[in-house]
Amino acid sequence: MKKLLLIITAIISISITADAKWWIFGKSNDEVGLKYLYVNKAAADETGPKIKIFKETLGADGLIKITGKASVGKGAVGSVRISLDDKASWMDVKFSENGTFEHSFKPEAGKTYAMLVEVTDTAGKTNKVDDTRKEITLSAEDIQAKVRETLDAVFDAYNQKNLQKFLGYVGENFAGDKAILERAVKRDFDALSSISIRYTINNISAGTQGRVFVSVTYNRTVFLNKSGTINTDSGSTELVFESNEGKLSLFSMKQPLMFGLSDAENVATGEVLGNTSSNLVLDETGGLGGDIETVNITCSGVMPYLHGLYYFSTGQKGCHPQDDIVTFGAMADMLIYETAIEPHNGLQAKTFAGKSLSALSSSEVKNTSGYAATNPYTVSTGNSYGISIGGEFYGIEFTSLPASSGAQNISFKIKKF
Amino acid sequence: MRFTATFTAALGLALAAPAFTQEAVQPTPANTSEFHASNELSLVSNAISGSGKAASSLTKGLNYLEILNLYGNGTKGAWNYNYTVGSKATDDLRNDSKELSLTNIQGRATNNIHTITVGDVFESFSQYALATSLKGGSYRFIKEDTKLPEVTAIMGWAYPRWDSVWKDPVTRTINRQAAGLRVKENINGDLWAGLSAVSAKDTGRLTATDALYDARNYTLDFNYIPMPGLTVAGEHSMSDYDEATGATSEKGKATRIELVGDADPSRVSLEYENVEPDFYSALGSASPDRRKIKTKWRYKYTKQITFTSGLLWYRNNLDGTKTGTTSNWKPEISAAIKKPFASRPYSFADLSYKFDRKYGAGSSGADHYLNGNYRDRFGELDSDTNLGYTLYRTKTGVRDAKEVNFNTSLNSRHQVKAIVLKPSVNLGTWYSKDELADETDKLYEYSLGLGFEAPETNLAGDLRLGQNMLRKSASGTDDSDKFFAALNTYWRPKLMAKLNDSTIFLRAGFNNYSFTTTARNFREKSVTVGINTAF
Repeated sequence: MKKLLLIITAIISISITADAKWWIFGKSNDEVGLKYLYVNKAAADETGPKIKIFKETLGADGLIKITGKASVGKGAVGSVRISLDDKASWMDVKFSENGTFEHSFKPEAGKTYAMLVEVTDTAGKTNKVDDTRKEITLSAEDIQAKVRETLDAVFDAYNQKNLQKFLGYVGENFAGDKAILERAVKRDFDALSSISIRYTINNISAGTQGRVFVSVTYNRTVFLNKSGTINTDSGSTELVFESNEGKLSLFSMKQPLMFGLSDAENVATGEVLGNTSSNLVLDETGGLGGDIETVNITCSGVMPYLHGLYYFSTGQKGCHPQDDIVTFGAMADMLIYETAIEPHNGLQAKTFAGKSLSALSSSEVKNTSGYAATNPYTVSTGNSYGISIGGEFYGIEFTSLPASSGAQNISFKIKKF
Repeated sequence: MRFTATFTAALGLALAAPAFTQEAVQPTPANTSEFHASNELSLVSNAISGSGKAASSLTKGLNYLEILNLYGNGTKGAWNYNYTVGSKATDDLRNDSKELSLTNIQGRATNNIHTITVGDVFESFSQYALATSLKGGSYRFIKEDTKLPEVTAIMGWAYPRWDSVWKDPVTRTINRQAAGLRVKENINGDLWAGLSAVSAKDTGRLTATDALYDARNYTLDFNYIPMPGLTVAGEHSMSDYDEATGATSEKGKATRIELVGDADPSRVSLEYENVEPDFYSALGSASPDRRKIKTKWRYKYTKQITFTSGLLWYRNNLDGTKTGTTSNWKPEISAAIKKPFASRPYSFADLSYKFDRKYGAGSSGADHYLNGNYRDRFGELDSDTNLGYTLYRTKTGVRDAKEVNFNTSLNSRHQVKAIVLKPSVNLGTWYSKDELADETDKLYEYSLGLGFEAPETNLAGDLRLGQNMLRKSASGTDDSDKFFAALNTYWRPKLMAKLNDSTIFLRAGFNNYSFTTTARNFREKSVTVGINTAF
């Protein structure tokens, strides 16, 4: 902690010394100008020439506030004037001794205000007025429509695999880091094709700080190039946008993620409360990853009733009959035949026909309806299965089932819900 | 089609009717009010066929989606107020797990000193402290031109949707009750600082494994402008939580600080972040167990050429409890060139190189990304061409692959009498060579588009059709083709425009998926018609 404080203190100290001109390449700070300028709490130097503001992000008073600080080097501030009609008329603005000023006005929806700020020092020298020009518009659109327009555009860019366009909707302040998201989305685009994401909005909430909270229900289909298979999933997630120049850009995303599935751990900054979705993520190879594990069991030898076995609570695996009672001291939860599993220890199963494990949602696996302790319980590749045992729920998908005799080679994917 | 749809649609249309389009009664000149509404009702018919139709994400049959939003504002004496309420109704569980739901409700009133908000409340304190919406209420005190601090108090529930508030069985979640207080002081014109305290307490476990947090965060954030164009901003947060299910209690800290220097010809940013593994933000945004340093420099070399360079480094395992530490280096450099060919006024080129180095904890990778983009106008044709080369190189046998992708699009615009036509062509290919498996994947894509506008009749739309073809060399995997066609049309009838702002839309889509294993083949047909009304 001390080290950190030292670093922070050193950085701030260096940056505020008179010699800290490295970043402006010797540009003098003795000029008449503006130390800072904000339009409704948005820093003017971080916006482009146009600032569009939504009425939902105004205070209830409906005012746009221009705040700033005049800077005149060695002299004193003589006057501060603001024009909202492209220099056609000017208003004198009161300023304090240190040059700070504020001006508020009530905008009309749809009208554009060409704002310029003029600072004059007592010697009559003025700032570069044209450099302060901003076109301010109070959008006639309601925030709901703007959110939908933005979501349509960002999903369309992702569906079309247009990285440049997609990044145009990601803010520089993206909480998970924009550079990490950029590379993750690039990997998504290499791993996926025929992306189709549809959504409906569950909740929108706009704050006066210019940020907008959005909760959506999504329904997604992607084609995995590596496996050549289609994966579908659905669920609810949350995104936060921030408003800049009237454009909404992504500020943060939670799990289940919509974008950046290839580096979910670093892209997502939190998880939706009560998340029951499958959290589709991609591993380093471009295949399905995340918390899905693969279990491989190989049993050989000339024995009667030779089967693979698995214990869900411990993840132990082996071969029946030599491993369960003898090695582990208890009957396994599941024995695996060529077309069925044999349940033990209260295990119950249910079938999700034609669904992959990654497409299973927590709610459907945890829904106790349909579970049965049928012995033997028929299984096959191409389906996935819910497993209920000891109050815990798992999903499994067999990728390889054993032959009816001889060596028993079994492979399945498993995920705990 | 259920009663709920009809009722909500009728309500929406009734509210959109001109009889209700009024400037509200004005008892005194000081009291005014406005009322607005928007409504969208759509009907979707989907048909899915083929032996592999279980893979479709569409819901078969006829379904509806109805979205209604009402909002207004006004003044009463010294107080200004606004409100909004919205709902969604559908019988397609893929649109929503609820047939009828309240999407948003909010009321806000202020007299420019005191501001009260109820319903959906989004007071973003700082990134680590509070960056999510609550269902509840907030109060803000701010008095301009005084030394008094800005004070914000908030209380509510961090449910993602309103159905969860009344514990609907379908959308029920654990109960996360939240409260927060923030005091922000403008110390002088150059420096402000805020102190936030936020608590979140979970109750009502749904399953035995649900984590229940009782968490508190204390955060200091600030913004300082030491000289024109230079901004220093950051925050430091401390978390303290107890988690009941795992019987754990932890404390953690998170810090971030950013310096931004912005003045022609440069924009430079330096960023440092350190989030301890045990830091927990129940209501904010954070990536625990990450130490990050980031720099970015954008330099306008000339009016035509801008260089951008950046370096991102981060690692995990800050407390050394993991078996290994994973470090990442991500340097990048790019150049954007306007008019690279002096004789071509619309030409634009963008070249970039990015590198990813990841090592530690059993992984070691060095990935290279090269990309070139060129845009230009040739006669009436606008072109946009992208060529990328990616080399995924790991030293642990996870992935050694090279990939090339190429996309080009050509667009133009023609006016035929009163109709504007916008034809377009997109071509793309992606080639991947997996050197470990010695297998290749090739993807070919094309699409043809035709946009059209008839301004006199307020009709607009576009038609797109195309095909994606994936060819895989690995045995046991399927080649696949997807043919698609999509039509979107929007019509704003003049008669309805006189009454209010309305759009009638029609969307039709056809997808045909075919695989080497024909049992996986399926087709989707979808038609959507709807009306969007706002005033």
